[in-house]
Amino acid sequence: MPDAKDAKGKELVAQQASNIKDELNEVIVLKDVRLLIGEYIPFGVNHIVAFNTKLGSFMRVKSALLTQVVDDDPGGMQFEIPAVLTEVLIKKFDKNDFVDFEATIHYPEPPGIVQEEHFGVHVDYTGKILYGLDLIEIAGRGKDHVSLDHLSRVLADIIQDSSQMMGTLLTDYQRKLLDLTYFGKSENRDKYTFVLAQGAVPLVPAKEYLDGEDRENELRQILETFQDVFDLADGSKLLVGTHGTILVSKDPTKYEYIATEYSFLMSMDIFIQNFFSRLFMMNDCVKDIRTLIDKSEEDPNAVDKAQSELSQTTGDAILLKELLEYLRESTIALGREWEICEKGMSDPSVKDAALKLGIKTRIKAARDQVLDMEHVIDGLLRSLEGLSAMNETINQHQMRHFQETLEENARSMENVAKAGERTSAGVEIMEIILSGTLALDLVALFTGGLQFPNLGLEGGLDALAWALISVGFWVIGSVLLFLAMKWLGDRAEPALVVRLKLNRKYNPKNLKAFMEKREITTQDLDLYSTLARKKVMWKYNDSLFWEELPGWGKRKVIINLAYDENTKFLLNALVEVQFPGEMKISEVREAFMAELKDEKVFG
Amino acid sequence: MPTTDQNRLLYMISLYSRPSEKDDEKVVWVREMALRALMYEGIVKKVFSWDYAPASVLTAEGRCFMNISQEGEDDINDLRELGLINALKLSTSRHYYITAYCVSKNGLTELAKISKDDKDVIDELVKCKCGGNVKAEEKDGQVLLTCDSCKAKQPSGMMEVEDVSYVSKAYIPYLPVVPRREDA
Repeated sequence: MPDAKDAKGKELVAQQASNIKDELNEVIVLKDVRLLIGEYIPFGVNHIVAFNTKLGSFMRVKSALLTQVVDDDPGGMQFEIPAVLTEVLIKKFDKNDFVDFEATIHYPEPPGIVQEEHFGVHVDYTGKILYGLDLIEIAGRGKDHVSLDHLSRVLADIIQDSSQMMGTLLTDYQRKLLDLTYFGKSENRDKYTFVLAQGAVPLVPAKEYLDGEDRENELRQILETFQDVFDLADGSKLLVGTHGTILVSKDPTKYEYIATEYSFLMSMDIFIQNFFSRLFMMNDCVKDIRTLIDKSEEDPNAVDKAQSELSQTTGDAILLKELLEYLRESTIALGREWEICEKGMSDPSVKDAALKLGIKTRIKAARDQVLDMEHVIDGLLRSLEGLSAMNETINQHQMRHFQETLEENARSMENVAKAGERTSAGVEIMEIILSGTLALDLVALFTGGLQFPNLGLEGGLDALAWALISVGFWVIGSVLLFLAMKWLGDRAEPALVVRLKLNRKYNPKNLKAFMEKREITTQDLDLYSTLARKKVMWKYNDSLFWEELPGWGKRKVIINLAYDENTKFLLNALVEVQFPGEMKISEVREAFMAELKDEKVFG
Repeated sequence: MPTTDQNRLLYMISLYSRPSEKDDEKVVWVREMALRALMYEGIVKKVFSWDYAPASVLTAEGRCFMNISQEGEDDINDLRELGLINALKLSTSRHYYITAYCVSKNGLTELAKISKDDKDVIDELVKCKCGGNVKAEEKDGQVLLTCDSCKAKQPSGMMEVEDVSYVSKAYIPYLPVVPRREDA
């Protein structure tokens, strides 16, 4: 064991059982270390009941394996999942109040690293989460030699692993609240560490740890910024920092309760700081929404954007308000808890430590902070209500404007339609006249002219009868040509139009393969905000000779398909089929869905 | 009298910051995160004799663990106390505060006293293969080492928290059961 008493005589310690690239200078070594890591997670009585149920606290066998996998086919018989990495064993619980359990974690570690992570967990209805570990061995050394350099790495590991483990046990609602507070990165949330050690080398008066050099630097790896250091009446040392506290005492057990209260209180403080940042960020969102509303006349997308941001921010603000309520209840419960426990505290050193840590004052400060934030949230919600009303007014204004434009357009369309009708009637008359003229030309072509004598028929028709026959040809020719044009027109028009609402996830790879097999004639892409809507059209039997197609038969079919490339959703389809009456709507639907299913387009 | 590490650090800060010489001239500051990334690279390459440990740091993308040198931070404070660098606190759009540093006019004078060897090791540290200067920037939750000249980009190792083998046993502290409500 290196002699760490002399700070100047730093010894470079060979790295054992770690993948540390750097050479560490060990200045302070702790003995018999117990770690208490606290965090605040919004909990209520109902959440504790759900938590106990998930852990299996009510079952006869009080141990279970946990996984993050969600069963999306609970009705099925079997399922396969990766190896289970967390094991829990319930030690003590109350259905509505708390649960104490031991967790063993087997998350994969790099080669050469062996971590036997067993920790105790306490969860209660106030949101108090405590993880407790007794370090037996660290970096190949026993519990009487815990280097702070190694300890900082162990703490980083425990903080991350405990978040991952809790992620499997929390409800979706709790995860949502945590993500909201930690800007979507709740898996990296911070916690407060309380280190209880039975000894330290060197053991010097508390003030001497604040040497501004090596000792202080090394302690800052655990504590971050120093807040204060104290020598307690029984010779214990208390080193307090913003992210951790170290208590060195011959009897650390007697300080357990204040260690748990303080680490929870400080973790709540960390939570409140994040919550406060989130609140102010939402105030910025309110400013952005106001700017968008102000720009509504200039920017055509402003109202839609404002609407979307407004609903998102309002949803978040309501969640924050609910979260604040949990915080408020926790601070009240904590105050009550502390009052009861303070009465039972008899050891003067423990009392002194509680006083120096300022637990009572901090509980009151936390309560005041929550109260202060209530005002901020109320103000925020009022601002959002005001913005919502403003946005509604602008929407109505735009709607009126839109309606007026629509009415104007309708009037113009009516005039155009009337003019079109007149033109169409004229064209139809012209068509009939021209068809007859064509018929007469055909007669003339076969008879050598429309003159009676040119026929040269013996004892034939007189001039009047010939004229009548010619007119007859003219009428028949007109009718035949008119019918032929109508038939052609009918053939060109879609006979059966079926609109299908799909709204199903698709497999991008298979959809691409599906499209490649078809001759896409048109493609449209609408990009808006987070959406990328694409419309494609293809035809079957788009030639003179139609072939027999599976599902469609010998028909011309036009298909328009709309899907969103960003969300990977098939939205809708418009299918047009020739010859009414020959195919039913259900058959069209079946034929189209079968095509998609056959090529595994649905994801 | 600054130590070797402090001299090297001062020279490194001077490469990325510049005080104004006239009133209308802008001051160039180097952000704390970028400096920490270069400090980490310097430790790994044995340019600095400090060590580092993981610490939870707030970034634009939320909290994450990064390898931070407390001795390096201490040397930054020493340089500030000596009046060789200035520190600027500024708030971000996420309502947390960051610090930026700039070599002071005294610091520029002090640079002349730094040995060529110390300057050379820092020049070597911040030099890209193409000859340009390496920059560190935080993007999408990652700290990247980039070079403007050759557009090279690589993530800094400062975000890779090293592992230590350990064995622990579960410990549940004594917690008195307190009734849920006062009337309970």
